[in-house]
Amino acid sequence: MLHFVSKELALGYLLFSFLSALGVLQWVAARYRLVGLALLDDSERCIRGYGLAGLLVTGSAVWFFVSQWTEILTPGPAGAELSVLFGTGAMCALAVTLIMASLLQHSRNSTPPQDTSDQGQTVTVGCATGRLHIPPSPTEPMPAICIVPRLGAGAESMGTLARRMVQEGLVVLVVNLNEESCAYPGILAILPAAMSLLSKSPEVDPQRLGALGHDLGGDLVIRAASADKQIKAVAALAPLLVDAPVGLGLMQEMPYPQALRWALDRKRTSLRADLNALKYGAKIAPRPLLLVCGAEDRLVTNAPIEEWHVQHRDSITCRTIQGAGHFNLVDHPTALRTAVQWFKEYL
Amino acid sequence: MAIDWTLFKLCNSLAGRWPLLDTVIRMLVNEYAVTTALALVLFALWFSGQLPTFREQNQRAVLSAIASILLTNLVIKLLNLAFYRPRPFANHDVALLFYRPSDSSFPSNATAVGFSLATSVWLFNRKVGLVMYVLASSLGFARLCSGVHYPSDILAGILVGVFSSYLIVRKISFLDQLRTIVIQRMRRLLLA
Repeated sequence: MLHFVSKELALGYLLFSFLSALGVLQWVAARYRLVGLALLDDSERCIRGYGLAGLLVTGSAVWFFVSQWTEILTPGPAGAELSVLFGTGAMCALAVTLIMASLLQHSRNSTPPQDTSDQGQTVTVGCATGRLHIPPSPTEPMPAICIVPRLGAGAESMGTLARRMVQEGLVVLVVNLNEESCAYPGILAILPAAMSLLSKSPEVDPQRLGALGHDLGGDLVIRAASADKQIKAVAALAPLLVDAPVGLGLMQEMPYPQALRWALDRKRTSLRADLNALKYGAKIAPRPLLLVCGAEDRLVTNAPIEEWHVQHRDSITCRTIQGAGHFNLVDHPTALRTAVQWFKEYL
Repeated sequence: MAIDWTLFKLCNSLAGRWPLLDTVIRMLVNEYAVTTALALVLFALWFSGQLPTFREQNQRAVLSAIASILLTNLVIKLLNLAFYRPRPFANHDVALLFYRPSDSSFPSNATAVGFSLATSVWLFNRKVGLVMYVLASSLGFARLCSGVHYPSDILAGILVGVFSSYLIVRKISFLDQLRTIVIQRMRRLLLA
């Protein structure tokens, strides 16, 4: 049986273990940019994260050794008891960190700045809805892009990109995927419906239609473009292509509960397999295809993209955006500029 | 044994001379400072690594370290059952900077555990392993200076720790499969 000798010393050591483990987790979060473990919003600089880590480890050590100085030089708990106390403290620190990081991340994201300058016109695209953005006072038919966001994210998630494209003189239709429209094979009807709607619009030049998708939306536009010759240029931002590796790396992108839901999402996994963009993408050539990935993206496996690029160098353009992850890629200035310029060049 | 006693006297002569050095030795010799530092390094190592392959190596190191501690403690327990050596302060007049432990002096349990952890990590990650060797060495040296162990106790502790870790990491192949299973399970929980 465990014998802790001194209750005060044991509780002090438990608290010391808890606080120092909390500090170590903050160091790890700052060092490896794990948002799922970070108690501070350190997206740009890690100094505050390292500072908090140092403060917790040093502060707790100073407090413990100063307050328990005479106790620690007398017979105390044995190795087994200390292991139990340290293990309990470390596990509590991990649980508290995961919960706190998730709550803090949620509160940071709960009030995003909303730009209500151009919400677009609501239209029906097959079994889904969409928002059509037309540049003001067009003088001649313009090229048009159909944008498909990632599953579960509304049309507003692509708002920055849509506004940027409209400013550059492109007509934009952002598809709003809902629960019914996400089912396979019904989801395959969305892009043809969108292309039909755009080509009938008087502001659009039907010979200059493109499609862009993010995440699984990228897989969808690749699959749809393989069969629809109306689509003249395709861009996929962080397409999944293959199943992403599940593990601690997911917490570089999102907090723990969200990462756990993402990892357990069978619907996304089966839809990705059904779309099989990696196989159908080969049929897009000789039409141009742009693949954009964030250098910090932990949800996309780079190997198939690189292999694909090597096989179809003439038609596929690959771009890696430094400092961008999976979700913030669609708002990253370099990614926006790359996508807009590429469509202007090829449409 | 004469060299053992000579080396002990040399190291123990550092104790009781300068209050600051005594404080540093007391800080290192207790069961809370260096052992907790080693445990925190292991805790950090579990989550460390930019790429999944590096992270998996580190996690294998952590699991090996835990298994090594168990083997090290078992070996020490068996040695203690077979052999009892009184502490230096029991038969000699020494400068004692720590309380009087009642268990066998041979081999040094704390040093064995420290070197067991450091070797397990060193076999997977040289840089972090080196840091842990420094910590484990400081613990062994402090126990020598503070008058609770003979140099041969420390040396035996080092040998037990290193040998146990080497066995765990390199010689017991089924543990490698066990490590893989644990890492895969933890990965499903997104904790590896």
